[in-house]
Amino acid sequence: MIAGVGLSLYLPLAAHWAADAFDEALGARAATTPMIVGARGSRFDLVLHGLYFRARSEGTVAYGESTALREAGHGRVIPLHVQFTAGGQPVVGTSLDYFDFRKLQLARGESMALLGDCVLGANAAQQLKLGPNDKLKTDRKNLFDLAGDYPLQLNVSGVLAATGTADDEGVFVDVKTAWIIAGHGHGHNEQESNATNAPSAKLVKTHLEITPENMDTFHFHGDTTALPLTAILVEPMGAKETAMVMGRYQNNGTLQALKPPVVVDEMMGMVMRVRQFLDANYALVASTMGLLLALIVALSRRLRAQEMETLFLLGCSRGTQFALQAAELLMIFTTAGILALVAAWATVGWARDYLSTLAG
Amino acid sequence: MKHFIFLLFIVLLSCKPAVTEPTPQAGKPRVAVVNYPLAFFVERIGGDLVEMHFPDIEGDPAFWKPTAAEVRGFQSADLILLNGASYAKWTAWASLPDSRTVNTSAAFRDAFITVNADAAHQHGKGSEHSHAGTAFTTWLDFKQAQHQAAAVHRALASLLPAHAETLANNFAALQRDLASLDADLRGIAADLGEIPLLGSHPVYQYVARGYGLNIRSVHWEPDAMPDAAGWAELAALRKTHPAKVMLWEAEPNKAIVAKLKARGIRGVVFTPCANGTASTDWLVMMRENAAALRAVPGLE
Repeated sequence: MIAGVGLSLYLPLAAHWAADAFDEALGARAATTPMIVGARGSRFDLVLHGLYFRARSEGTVAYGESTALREAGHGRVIPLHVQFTAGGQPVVGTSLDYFDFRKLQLARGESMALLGDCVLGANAAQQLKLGPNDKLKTDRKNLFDLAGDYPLQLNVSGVLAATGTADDEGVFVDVKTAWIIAGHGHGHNEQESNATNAPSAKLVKTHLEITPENMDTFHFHGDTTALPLTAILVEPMGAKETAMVMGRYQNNGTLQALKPPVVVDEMMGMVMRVRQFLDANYALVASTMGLLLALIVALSRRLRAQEMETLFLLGCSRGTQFALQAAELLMIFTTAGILALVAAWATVGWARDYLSTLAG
Repeated sequence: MKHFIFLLFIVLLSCKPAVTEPTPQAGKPRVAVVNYPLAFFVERIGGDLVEMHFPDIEGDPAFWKPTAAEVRGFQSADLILLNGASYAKWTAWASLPDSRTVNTSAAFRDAFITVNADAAHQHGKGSEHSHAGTAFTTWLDFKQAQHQAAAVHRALASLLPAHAETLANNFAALQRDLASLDADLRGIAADLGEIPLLGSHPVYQYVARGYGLNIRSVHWEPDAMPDAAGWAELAALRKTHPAKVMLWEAEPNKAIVAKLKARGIRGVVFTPCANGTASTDWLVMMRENAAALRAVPGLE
């Protein structure tokens, strides 16, 4: 009986608290990200991509757009290129400004300095069992595409302190390194440049590596302002600048500017509607449980009728008997309530980290 | 009793932990630059208000290859000033904070000169490099230098808003000097007219375009005797460009001077002054450049 009552209390409690924790985590991350610019398409996808590095395949925005925004002087502008993974963790191509923007601190090692350097989020470092001066290869998107992107060996320069956000999962590289992973830039090795009949480095090597010796051979063909970003984070200096950035993209056919707090509120509105449906469901379950309890109490009273009559004959009044039965029920409800509270609290506490990265 | 309370009060006061005074923001803003002309502009505009970071670089800063630690020296600066026009190739391989980085030639990026692909070459013991891509000695056109100085001023003004007036006065003085240099060189160039000149190195594109000088360049170094192919290239060039003066980035060695003299060519030092020393003053060096051009045969 305690288990039955406890479970019927636990479910709505845990669901409510979990939804609140999710709302809080998503809202907090969105609140610190005033604006995201990216290709037109699903608004939710773009915001979740910018906040949680969730994969997105709805077009790109040219790097020149990021430069133009910065030169317009509206505020801090941070490029994002998130398209690849390394050891299953998202490779986040960005600039050093991202670390200031998110107030990320290094726990070990140093910041990225040169092409091929990477800084690991706390969980990424733990999962990959890597630290400063270790190497990490990016994952191939398609194993059967011989002409496609080659894994790039990254040099781990540092590990970030844990933040309890999606940043803990990231492998942060300079956006130029991300472009090299994507094949927009490349270097030449000694063998390639000296021997005309030498086999292609791509056929010989299983991955690319940027070293101090070959670093200066890495270059990008064409106009770097046309190279792709998957999103741009913007931190306008004030309301006026926010309006100017929004206005800049209002009638843009290919790009959109979004305010993550607004989009996340909208998204949470949908979650709340689902919660209302669940609440109705819980109310029905609770009613059923109540009827069942009433039935159990009625049957129990009938079964114990002779026992109650004996008690009455021994001098126990009807009122005392009622009080005894009420106390029994109270004990059951109290125990079930406490168990449900503890279980719900433990569940949400255990799932909080997971919830903070759930959107990714 | 009153005495006891008073004593207790004194004891409690003496037990109060010392208040840690907020330490004033120690040090001046750190400004990192990629070449000496920018260092000079910062020195003239910012003066003692800023701390300069221009590392000791052996050779041309355009082709410097910093280590990760040296890059971090730039990353930690409050302001990083780039020359732009693909100068300081290392900035393409390094991670620099965009919000603190200013490209001083952005205002005239549409006027950059594209250089055709050429053979890579070496400066002394330095690493091999190529000038293909974008011509980068932007400051040798003093009108462009004025734009770059203006960019430096804007960046410093936003870094030090409390010193806006001092910075503006210093900037105005620098602009006057640059304008005077520009006028001088314009006058000399007008006198030179179409007189053909040779450049020992492909670094005179902007001075040639800016002042209408008739310069064509070879790929020589002041401290390395050109090989037979180099001399043959010069001979071929002179058939269509009969120059009698060659501009050098630095004083060429005596053997080269002698061989040039034998061919009727006089060397004139016109240094871009991309890398400064303790005794260098960029403005003085530029005035010496102008004076050297004024002494070109035909103008004397």
